Amino acid sequence: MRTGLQGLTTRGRSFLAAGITAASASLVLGQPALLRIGLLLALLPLACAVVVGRTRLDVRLERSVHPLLVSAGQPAEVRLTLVNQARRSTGLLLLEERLPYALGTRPRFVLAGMRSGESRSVSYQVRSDVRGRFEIGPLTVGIGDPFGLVEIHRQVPGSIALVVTPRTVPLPDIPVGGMWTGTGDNRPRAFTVGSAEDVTVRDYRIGDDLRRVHWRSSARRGELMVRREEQPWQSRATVLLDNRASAHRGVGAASSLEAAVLHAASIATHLAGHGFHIRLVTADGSDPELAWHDRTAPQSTAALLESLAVLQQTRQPHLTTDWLVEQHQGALLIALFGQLDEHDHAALRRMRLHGTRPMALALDVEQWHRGEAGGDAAWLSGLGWSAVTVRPGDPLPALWHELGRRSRQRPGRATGLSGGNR
Amino acid sequence: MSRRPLLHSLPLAVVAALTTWVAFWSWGSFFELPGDFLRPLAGGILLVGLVGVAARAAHLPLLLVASCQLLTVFLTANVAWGSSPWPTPRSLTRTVRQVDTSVDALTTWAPPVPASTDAALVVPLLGALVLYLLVDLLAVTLGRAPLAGLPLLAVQTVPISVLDDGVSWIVFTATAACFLGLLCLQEGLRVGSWGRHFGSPRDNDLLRALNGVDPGRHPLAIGSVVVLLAVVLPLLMPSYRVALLPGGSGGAGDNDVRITNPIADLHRDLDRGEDIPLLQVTTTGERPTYLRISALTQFSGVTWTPGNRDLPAANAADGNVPDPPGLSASVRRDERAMAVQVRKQFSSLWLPTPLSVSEVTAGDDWRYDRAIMDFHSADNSITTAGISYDLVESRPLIEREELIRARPAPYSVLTEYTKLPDDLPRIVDDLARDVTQGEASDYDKAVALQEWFRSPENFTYSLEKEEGAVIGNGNAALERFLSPEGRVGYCEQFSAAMALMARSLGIPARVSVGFLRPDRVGPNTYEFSSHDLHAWPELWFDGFGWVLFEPTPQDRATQVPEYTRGGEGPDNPDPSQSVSPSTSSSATAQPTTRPTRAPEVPESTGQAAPEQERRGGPWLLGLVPLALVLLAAPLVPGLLRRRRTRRRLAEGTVEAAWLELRDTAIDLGRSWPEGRSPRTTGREAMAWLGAVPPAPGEQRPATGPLENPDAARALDQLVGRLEQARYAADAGYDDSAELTAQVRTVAAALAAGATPRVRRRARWLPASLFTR
Repeated sequence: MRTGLQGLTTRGRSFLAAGITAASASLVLGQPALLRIGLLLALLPLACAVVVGRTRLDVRLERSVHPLLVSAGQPAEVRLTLVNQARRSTGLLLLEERLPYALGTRPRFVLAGMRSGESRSVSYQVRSDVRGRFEIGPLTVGIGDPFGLVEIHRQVPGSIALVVTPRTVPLPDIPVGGMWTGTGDNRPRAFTVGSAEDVTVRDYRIGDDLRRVHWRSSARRGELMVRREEQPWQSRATVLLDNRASAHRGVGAASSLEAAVLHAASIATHLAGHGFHIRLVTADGSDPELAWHDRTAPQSTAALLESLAVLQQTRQPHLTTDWLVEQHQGALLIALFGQLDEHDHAALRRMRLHGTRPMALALDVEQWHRGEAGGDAAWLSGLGWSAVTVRPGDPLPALWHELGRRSRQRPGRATGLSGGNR
Repeated sequence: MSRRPLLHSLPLAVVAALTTWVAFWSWGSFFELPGDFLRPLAGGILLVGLVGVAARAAHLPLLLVASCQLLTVFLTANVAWGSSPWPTPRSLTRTVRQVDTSVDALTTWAPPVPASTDAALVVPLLGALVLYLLVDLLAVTLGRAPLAGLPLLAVQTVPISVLDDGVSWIVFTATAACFLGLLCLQEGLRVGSWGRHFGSPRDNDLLRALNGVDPGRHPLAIGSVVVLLAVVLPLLMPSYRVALLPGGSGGAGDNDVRITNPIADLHRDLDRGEDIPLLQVTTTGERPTYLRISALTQFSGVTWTPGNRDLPAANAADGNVPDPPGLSASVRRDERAMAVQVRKQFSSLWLPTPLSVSEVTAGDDWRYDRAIMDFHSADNSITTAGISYDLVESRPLIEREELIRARPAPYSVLTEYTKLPDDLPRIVDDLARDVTQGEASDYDKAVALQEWFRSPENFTYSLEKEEGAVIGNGNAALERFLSPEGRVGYCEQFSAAMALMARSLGIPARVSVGFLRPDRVGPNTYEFSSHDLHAWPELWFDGFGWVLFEPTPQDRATQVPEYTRGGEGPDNPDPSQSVSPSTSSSATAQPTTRPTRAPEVPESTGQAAPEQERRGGPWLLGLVPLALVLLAAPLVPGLLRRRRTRRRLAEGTVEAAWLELRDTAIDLGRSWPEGRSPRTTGREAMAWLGAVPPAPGEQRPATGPLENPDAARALDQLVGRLEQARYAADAGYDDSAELTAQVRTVAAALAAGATPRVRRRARWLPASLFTR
């Protein structure tokens, strides 16, 4: 009863008020016919409130999204399955799915009664033009009366996350890391066995140098193990994304950070497609979960793009350089910078010293904000980086091509960049 | 909102039109023949509604739709009353003139307007069409059905304010039902456009609102309960008006006053446009005069009231009744039979009877008080409306000489009927002494008073306030009436004043209200109408009881009783008049009472209801469905339960069958184990099976699988099927006929395993209905 009364709609409240007014007026004026009308108006919402307030809802909801990871602008299908677990029919239900605004309007459904044990399903599409991780659900169920006087809302708990990754563009092949071989394709050499990370010891084979026996492992295993000193070739690339709030301008999808994320996504996808192991590094440093992604391209990009999808601004004032410890000499470093200042000088120098010839896309962030031209590409070049300035609307393939040209023009001191490390 | 497909708004438009038309039934009682109003209205509504449907189908803007409908109303009015297909100056003037005539007719005629006055219909019809237009605009064009309730409320309140008793419950119920239907339909449309259909889509948008609703929330269930309550609840509050407004008498409150004091309405009933026939008397002999309705025995200073009645069931008026009080058995009487037929318009709590009766056959509902001898209904909800009864008049032959010789009244009568309020104006006493100076006996004093009142030099008979007529019978009214500047009034003042003056002289007196003189409408048939209502004083003379006197002047009451005609009366009517009263009464009484036609009385309000008393009909009618509902209520649980069984068995799935078995067990008071596996549950249920038919004479039947192997086998099979349906990949097949047979077998066995008392309870009050 109480829930029902709380669920009175504007119409229900008006009916109740009008009914009480009419009934009391009829009592005061002595008009029995008016009392009848007043009673009708007042009792109708009350009866509805009782009936609706008594309604029990026992439904099970299953929600699935396919695919779970979707590129911006691509549709994903959400499928809802409702099962009525109560022993009686549900009656008319008004369902509304809760969606983040980025996914569009909230889908609404009318469910005209489900018998006991019956199950119904419906699917709808969502699409987002902005990256991010979006919670779909919970489902709000409206239970009303046939006259529209009372409507109470219940939530069916449970939600599912949809990750919308940044949109990527295909890039032209350019020689990266100074290992331009002239064929236009800079593939890392294939591995012999396994991957680099997990193999440090291996079984003794006849002919192995005894000095390479790893005694501790041999003791544990009970058979001779040798240190494995030869490592497979592996191409590694670090993508540095400067996500400091101070370095970027603009808000939302039109901000310079979004542009940086989009470019980073395209570059990472491109490099992964060429067999690189990619590591994403932000101003906060390397995310442990984002350590060297596996090489196999699809998964690699999926996890990477997911990280990019949820990437947020950080309050960090300086670029962290802890990750440089892990940076192997000669690994490829591609940075996407926002606005840089004198405080970043040291960090940039350290990066320059660790890498061979790091490449940078310097976003001219003021152009996203006030339209003043600027950019730090020249300054970066002065520090030994290959850098291009990025302005709003610049096509990434052209920038990428230009970057390749610049790094070729002025080859760095170090060699063997993309060829892996030892 | 306005861009609805035609198919969506069509049912809404139909229901809106129907609702409006039904609501206007309440206006039917404005007219003598309601059909004269309702038929053209139905046509008009149909026309305006169709124009609306067409305009909406053409996707015209909202305002244009309403304008088209308004134009239709205008053109229709022009065609109907301007007699021209197109508006021309002449037809327009004619229409306007018709409207004027209608307004005139409505202000002059009190409802119901006679059938002959077609002109009166113009304004109500136009008003009704405009109201319908409003309903259509709000409910259909704008899609705001609840707002349409406002014009409908206006429709229903007009009769409440104009007619005393408002809208009949039947009309109210019909209107309410239609309005709820309208609401429901509109809500269905709203819900239908709320979102996509979840799951398998069905195209039937219109019925969706009703279809999908679970039985607990069915609009029919909610609607009928609410309407029933709204109709019945006011009936269960019988005294709310009296409690809230003691003595209140505004508007319809007049009804209350009439119950306790019939005299208060006398003026109103006399001062009315129409002379409504109220009752018919068939008798032999001369014209029956002076039919008493009620005797007023007490004067409070404010008004005359009937006083208290003692009405035991033994005093029922169905046969012989005792002699009037005080009438000596030695007085000779004239007896004659009368048959009285009361019209519907006359509802009174008192039974009109001649002054003196020896036999009344009106049924148990009518009782008399021995000391007063008028006939009152035993139950205030029973009135005279429409009844007929037989009686035997027994008219005592009163001799003038006997009256002169009458001894003083007995003490009990004397004290009771000479009571006067303390604040009685002195003028009453003074005048009474002046007028009766020199008269010896009570009789002579009474005759002197009567003649003083009837003398044209002293008093003028008039109902008109403008002519100085006094209204009412309280102290103030009496003082004005008796003072030399006043002395204009009608029977109410004459009778009240004479009764009071008689009391002040020590003669027991009371006032009676009734009918004076009927019109002859056929051989031996006479008709009393509202203009014949009258009041007269009755004075006590020992040996004769209450004896009638007639102080009202000749303008109204042409004759005085024979026993009051002495030798010296100056205005003693010619005896020949009494021989042929039929000509004189109709010729003299009527013109003075009222002008023949009401149109000459513009201030005649519409308040005058034909009813004399509060109507009791709707009470009874309202109680009949209530009684039926109460009688049928015990059947409902059983019926619901059996309906559920049928539905489940028709479904034919194992789950439904299992559920049915569970409910059967719960009905029989068994504790069904919830949440166990079918096998465990089945094993427990096994123990409840009893032999079919139950062994006779056994109070507690033996139960167990061995008692009824057939049922045990069926239960086993059911459990197996249920397990297969629930757990097997392949759910197997459902043979619903076999399933039904198994369920029936097991259910019968379960029932047989219970005691007869439990079985009865399971049949009439199944517990499973109340568990979830």
